[in-house]
Amino acid sequence: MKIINYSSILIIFLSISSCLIEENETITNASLDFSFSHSQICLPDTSTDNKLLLDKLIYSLSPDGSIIPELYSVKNLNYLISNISLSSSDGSNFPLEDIYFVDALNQTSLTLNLGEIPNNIYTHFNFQFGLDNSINLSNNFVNESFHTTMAWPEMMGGGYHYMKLEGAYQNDSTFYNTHTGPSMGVDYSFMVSKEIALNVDGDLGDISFDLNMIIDNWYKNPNDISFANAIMMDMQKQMQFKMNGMTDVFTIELNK
Amino acid sequence: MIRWSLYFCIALLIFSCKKDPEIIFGCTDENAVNWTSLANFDDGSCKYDSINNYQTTPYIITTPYGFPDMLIPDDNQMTVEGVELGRQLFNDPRLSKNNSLSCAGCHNQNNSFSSPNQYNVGVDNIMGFRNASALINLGWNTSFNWDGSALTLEEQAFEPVTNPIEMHDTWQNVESKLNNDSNYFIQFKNTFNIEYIDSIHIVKAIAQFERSLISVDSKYDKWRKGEVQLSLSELNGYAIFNTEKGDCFHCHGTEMFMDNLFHNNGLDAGNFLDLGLGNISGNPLDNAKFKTPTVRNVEFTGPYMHDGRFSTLEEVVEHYNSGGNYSTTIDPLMKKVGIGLQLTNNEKNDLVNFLKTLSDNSYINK
Repeated sequence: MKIINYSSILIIFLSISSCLIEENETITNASLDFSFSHSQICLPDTSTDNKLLLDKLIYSLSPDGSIIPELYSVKNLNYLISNISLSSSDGSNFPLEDIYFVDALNQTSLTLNLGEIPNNIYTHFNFQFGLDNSINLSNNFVNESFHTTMAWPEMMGGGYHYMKLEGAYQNDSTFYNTHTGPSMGVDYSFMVSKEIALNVDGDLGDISFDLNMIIDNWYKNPNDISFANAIMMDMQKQMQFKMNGMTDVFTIELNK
Repeated sequence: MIRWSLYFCIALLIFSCKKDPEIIFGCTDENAVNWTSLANFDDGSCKYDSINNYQTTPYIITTPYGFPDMLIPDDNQMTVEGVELGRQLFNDPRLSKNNSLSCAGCHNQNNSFSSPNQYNVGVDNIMGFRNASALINLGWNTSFNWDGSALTLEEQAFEPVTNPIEMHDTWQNVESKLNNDSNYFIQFKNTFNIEYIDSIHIVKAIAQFERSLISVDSKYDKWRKGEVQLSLSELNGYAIFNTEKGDCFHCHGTEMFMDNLFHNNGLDAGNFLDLGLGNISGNPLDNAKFKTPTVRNVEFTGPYMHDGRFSTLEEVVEHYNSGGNYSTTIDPLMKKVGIGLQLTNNEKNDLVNFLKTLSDNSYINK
């Protein structure tokens, strides 16, 4: 009789504890958040708040930090990144998001929750700036929010812009349009791989990365590019922007 | 006793982790007479009003090439009956105070449901201050009116009926007029299964009709399908439109020929008489920004711009060719401000000729 009573208690205990174990198991991985920030120039003093202020004319900086006497502002910034992933020390790749559209004027686009990532030692954060030509086709993403904003006319190759960076330079009333994309059907998208040190082992809670775009550097290194217009059919300019973008436009910071 | 306690424990073991919501059986079809909001599992018990035989026919929208799926609210799905009812309401002057002005009074089908007048006069002989927008492919718009003051077609349709410079009626009065019409009573019953015609269902029907106004049968569309050829002039205009030479595509791009955004296109050098989006958002950076209209059927929709200041397409092209006027909120896409596009007369003519290939005659003659 006593044995049976003890077994009843044991079964009840098991029934309760089994639920607890199940809930604990669901939170062993880390949740990954992402923020997108933008700096117009790269200040040598990193303690200074360097966030992009839209529509504000400021001086450009040379690579050594000295002021280049050219004022410019940013009024509009949209871009697409794709094939977002984390790669790990064992050579595996963990895909995070296929395509993401960033609109600097739309706060909700500046944060991205990528959900849980499995335990691993991650060494690189990777993404493609723009879209690969295999998917960058006219009307390929008609139901995506970027379809109308980023469409690239078939006359010039078709598909979608990689980036629309617009503003004024020299003065308030002289505008530049830095529009990069698949000029005449040539793929100028490029991979960016940033080194990180992220050891996800058990429950780390929320992890937050910040991907920062230093806008000034699109025009600096290795190619010195002026704020010109009508570059959508200029294949040389598109290549120069690609090279600059691969060099030092993006930085990444792990917030936790 | 011991055996029962064991059974009890085993039952606990099995069910203790279940967190499923309670299943409530019943009729889940809102159109049924015995529909209940409490039910979350349809048990096949729905009963329908057999006297009026309430049954609607879905109105099928075929998504045109290069268009997104149409944005249709869950609570106002398209039906053949709804579209027809909306068409009648759209043309019914009883929606106005003195029964003299219908929606069609300012949105004439011959003009792609716009007005040939710069401004229109309301029932109290008060002149409006904006050009009546063309109604075309509205189901793919994400906001309505030149200033984006309405976010759905249903919301938009609410406004003109009570606007003092338009139809200047009250919804109570309009509802009363329509409820006294036995034909409408039956139609609303058959369309929405309601016993009283109210403003909510009036605007729902109008919105359904407006979503049915789809135009994709222009010479341009036929050319895209390989059915016709464009002339050399039209092709050159197409090239100007779709490259940075004319740079029309950044706002009037994709197969919809609009971007669902707001821009200040350099009409005025400050001292704006109409703040447009700025009036709605309260943000000075939005002053003088207006919603991009599609240029499909643009040949039929003059006069042009939010205030109808340009009578002809040639004047519109000349405005952009001049580069426009600088102001603090002008769009940086107007990058030739102060310089101009510097198109030749032939190029301007080609551009106009291309714009005319976007005319869908079947749309205005339906």
